[in-house]
Amino acid sequence: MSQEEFDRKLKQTFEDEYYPPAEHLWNNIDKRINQPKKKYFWWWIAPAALIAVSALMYYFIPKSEQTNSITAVQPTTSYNNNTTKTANQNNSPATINNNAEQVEMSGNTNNNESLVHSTANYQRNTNSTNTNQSENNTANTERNHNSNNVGITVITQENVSNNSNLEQSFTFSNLDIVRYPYVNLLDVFLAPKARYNDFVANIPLGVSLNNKPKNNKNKLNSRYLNFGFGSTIAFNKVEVDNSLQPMVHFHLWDKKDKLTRNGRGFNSYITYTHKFSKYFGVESGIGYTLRTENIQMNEVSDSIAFRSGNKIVGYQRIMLLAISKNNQGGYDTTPYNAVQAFTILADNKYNLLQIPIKAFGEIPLSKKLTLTLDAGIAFSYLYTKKMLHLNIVDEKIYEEKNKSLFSLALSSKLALYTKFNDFGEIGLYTGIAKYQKTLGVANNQYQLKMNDLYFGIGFRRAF
Amino acid sequence: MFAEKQIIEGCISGDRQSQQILYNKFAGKMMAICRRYIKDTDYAEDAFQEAFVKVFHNLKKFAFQSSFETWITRIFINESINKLRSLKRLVLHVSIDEQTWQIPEKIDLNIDKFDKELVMMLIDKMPENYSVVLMMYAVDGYSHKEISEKLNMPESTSRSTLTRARNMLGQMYKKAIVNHESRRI
Repeated sequence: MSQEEFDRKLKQTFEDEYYPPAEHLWNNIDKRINQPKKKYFWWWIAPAALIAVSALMYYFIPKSEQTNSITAVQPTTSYNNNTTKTANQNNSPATINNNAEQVEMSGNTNNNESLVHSTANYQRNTNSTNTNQSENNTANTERNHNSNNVGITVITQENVSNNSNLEQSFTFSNLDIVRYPYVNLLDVFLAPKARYNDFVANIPLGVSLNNKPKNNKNKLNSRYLNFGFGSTIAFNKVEVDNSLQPMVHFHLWDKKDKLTRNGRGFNSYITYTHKFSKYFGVESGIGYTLRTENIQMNEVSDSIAFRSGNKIVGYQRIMLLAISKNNQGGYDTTPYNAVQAFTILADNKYNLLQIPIKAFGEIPLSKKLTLTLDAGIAFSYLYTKKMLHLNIVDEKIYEEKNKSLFSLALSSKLALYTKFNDFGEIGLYTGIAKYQKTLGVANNQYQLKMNDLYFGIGFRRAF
Repeated sequence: MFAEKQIIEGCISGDRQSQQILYNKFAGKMMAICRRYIKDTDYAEDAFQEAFVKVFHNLKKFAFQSSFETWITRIFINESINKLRSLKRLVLHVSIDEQTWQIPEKIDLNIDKFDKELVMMLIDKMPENYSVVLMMYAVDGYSHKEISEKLNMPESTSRSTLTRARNMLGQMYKKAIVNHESRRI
């Protein structure tokens, strides 16, 4: 025979070649392909470390609070007696009483009246407190993940025989009794019955066609447990009623935005998501946020307000002259301009507990990546043990204790998850919360409007 | 093909049941391939395991552009050859006796088809470099260029080795048939 014919016949000999492998081989292969992969955390270390370090820094670096109601006195730059001395504003004398040297005062008034000399009482109150705080957050433990394996009939190695129907046994369209979630119904109905009958005739013992799959409601992974933690940027804004303007120093009124300041914080949540379709669902749970309000205000004005009752009737500039005898038998004068200071340094902390009820949606970006978005409302409870604000009328620090507020918040979160071995999914999230109610501060003199921006690391697991 | 795709996707996502289905479907054929190339059962099983592990680890790379069976067969053949190479069984030398053989163009054998068991037995007796080249070309459809690349030999050596392998098998087969028939008589 020719060489080509030789090759053809040789090929024919090995066409349906079959050699059953030993049983232990599958066990060895199974162990190797399903061994737990080494978990490489390194790409998560950087953001996780950043969040952890910022949280640690926030809680363990002591903070001090200081309140100061001193009215500082600063020198003028020009005076016709030409004797000027500089004074350190912060070290100005705590008290000036009536036994001081003779003081001559002059200045301009809004209504051109001559000044009546007056003494000012200066009181410096300095309180320092150190704040230390730490927070712990624990992640929940996982359960085993059972992915979709509904309706697959497994023909084990023991059942396989050197059988020409082997090919047919793996064509799922033949198995029109056992239902498969991803089988096109047309394939089921149009499958030729003859092939099905052949398959039935050759079905090995022990495999029953009547075994219907268990009714697994969770075939779409419809339930998720989510938790996460991270940092918060706390946006704070003051709302002052215009009716207060006549009672507030014009300089302070112009700078009223500085009555509060943005802060930072920590957020965490644990929620449950229930999907009622492939992409949409609802989510609810509980969240905790610790947010701060870091107020730093140090404003001065050389216009001294004159009041009638609480209402400001005018502003004046006040100059103080300190006159002292010198060695030459004459007098030296040191001029000081009186200024009014509005100073507050405070780090207020607010604890927030939230119960969100949100609509949820997810978009699978690839086999491993999923983008999720949720938006809705959150019932919020805010509590603060102590907070300090500036009373803008009497220009003093106002302390309030054990203040709480129930509010509704508009809440939304965007997260990007990636599959994380058998545990579930891990990802990064960012979110916002907009609190509808404002917090009245300084005895409800003005309102504090709060919004939060979150970001952190999230985990979710289907069950 | 439709169901195969589902099984492959299941394997990629780590579904153990899909993995077992895939294994059960191809294990018998692939073991036969390994046995065809590697005579020793233990070494054949080693190559078989290595190849299947490679298949599962590289399933993501399968782009469904060709038949899955072709793809997986190639992996097993490569792994079998690698195993032979590691065992230093692919010795490319030509013995003096073989050199004296005359290699006719036509093979002196007149049969309808080969007896599978007899062929397997005879192939086991052939030098491994002959049987490997013969299997790769005649049964698995590799070209001489591919064989030369895989076995790291010149193309001309692949051609001459193939010719010698065919003739050796043909003569051995004929001799075996004659001996068998003479015993019957």
